Amino acid sequence: MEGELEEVERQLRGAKGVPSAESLIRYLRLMRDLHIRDSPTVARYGNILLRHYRSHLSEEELWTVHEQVAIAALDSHALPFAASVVRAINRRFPDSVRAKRLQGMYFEAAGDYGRAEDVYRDILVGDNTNETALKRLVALQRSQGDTPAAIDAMKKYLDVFSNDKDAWEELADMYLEVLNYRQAAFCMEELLMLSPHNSSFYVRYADILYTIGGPTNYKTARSYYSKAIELTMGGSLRALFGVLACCAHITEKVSLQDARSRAQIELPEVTTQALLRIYKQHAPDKLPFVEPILAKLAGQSERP
Amino acid sequence: MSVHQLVLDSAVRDWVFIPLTLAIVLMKLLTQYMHQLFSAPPPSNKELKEVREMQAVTRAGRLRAMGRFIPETSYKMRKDYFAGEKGLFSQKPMTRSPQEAMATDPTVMVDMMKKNLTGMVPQLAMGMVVNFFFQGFVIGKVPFPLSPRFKPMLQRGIDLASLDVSYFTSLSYYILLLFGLRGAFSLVFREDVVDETEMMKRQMNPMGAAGPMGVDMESMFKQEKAALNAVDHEWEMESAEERAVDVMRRAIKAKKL
Repeated sequence: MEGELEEVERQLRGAKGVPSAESLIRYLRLMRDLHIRDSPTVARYGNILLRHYRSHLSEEELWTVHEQVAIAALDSHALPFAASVVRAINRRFPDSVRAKRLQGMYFEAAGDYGRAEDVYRDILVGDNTNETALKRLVALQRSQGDTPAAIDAMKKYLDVFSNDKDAWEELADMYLEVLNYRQAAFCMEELLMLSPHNSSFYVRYADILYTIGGPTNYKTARSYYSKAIELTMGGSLRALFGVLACCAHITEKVSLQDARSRAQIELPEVTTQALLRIYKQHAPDKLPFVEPILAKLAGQSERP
Repeated sequence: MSVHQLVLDSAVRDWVFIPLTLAIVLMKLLTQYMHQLFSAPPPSNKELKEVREMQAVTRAGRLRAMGRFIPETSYKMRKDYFAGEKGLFSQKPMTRSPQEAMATDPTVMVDMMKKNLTGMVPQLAMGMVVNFFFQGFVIGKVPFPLSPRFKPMLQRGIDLASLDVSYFTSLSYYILLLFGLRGAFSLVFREDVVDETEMMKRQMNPMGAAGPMGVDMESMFKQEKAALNAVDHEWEMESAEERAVDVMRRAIKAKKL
């Protein structure tokens, strides 16, 4: 599908004058299906499509395209154009909640936060389970820079819709912004359970634990960095450095008893080797800087 | 048998065929608009609390399946939240079972009445009208020969053994239009054309329709609580270091790093 998209993009860029309706429709459809955010381009081509080839679209797709183009225009801050599209949608679907939400998003983009909030609250009065309106309220606070209020709104949303991955991720970010690491760790735990195969979540969770500090947290962080190394086949530099940093902080001695403690003793050494190899291969000019750091980390972990 | 041709009175066309067609089309239009009128408010009868409980059950299920990816203390905290003494699943759910909802909420009954009103009542009335006014006319002939088995289908209301099967009667025409017009109507009304066959199916099997909306949340809570209590936490990261060392050793050996 990505290949198809590239082909259509080439067609569009190569077109002299107004591109053909077919390629425009196909481009917008692909962008919708692949969830790619390239708002300025979508807004530009969408504008051409809606102006020249309205009749080429079926009734359903016409309004889907309207919505897509409206959001893209808002995202790229093309306010006059967005206003015209949003108005058209509102005229066609006067009672639609989705149309109302677009209206609210327009106010948001225009900086009229009070009216935007009114619109969303109005939607929630009619249907208090409207997910998107609840989420917009979070975004509203976030774009005004009021992170604590955004956190409260997000908590309210997640209390009900507790399976929303993106929301958990956003909440984790917001907690990190206000330096509330314990809550951020909680959110990362939810994310780990939601997608246990995403190595970046392991690294971020370990980062947070490492930041909180304390002997138990260092150990746990080391385990999670190790898991990230396992998942990326040693390709995540952040995880490799993380393991070393954790090992440097863990002072308690382990005696050689089983496979696990042996691995814990060998871990810093093997990680250092891996790191050196990666640097040698991909960035040999950085080696002189890395070597002393690694030596220092290793020296710390060997200290009794 | 194939020799004789029936000559139909043109009055039959003027006073049976055309009025019958018109009457059916108008009735269909009427039911269509009535349906749209009554079903205008979308069924947003879901309460926020009900959604919350539904989602909580999903989340608890995930905790059971994926709990091995988080540390034990975090797991215990969540388990306590769901299945503890004062946990979510120890309380009485807000979601009512479908039977309860039926008994306490009159709108459920009213909705069903409305559906019947727009669906079946006009059809029955129309059937009676057609039976009364337009019974017993031969109003047309299909342009191809048919086997005698089609007789009860095409010649309803007239019991003549000698009549050729390809002639059809007003009553059969009525039934044909009743079900056949849906396709034509779906061209005009994009959404929700009243579908008689669908409606019939629903009436035949009311349990099937009620299935997805009614969940017995109380028993689900109990089940989930028991399941959570039955599962022990096993930490996936227990041996993460060993595996990391293995992976790196192998990668170094294979010169992949």
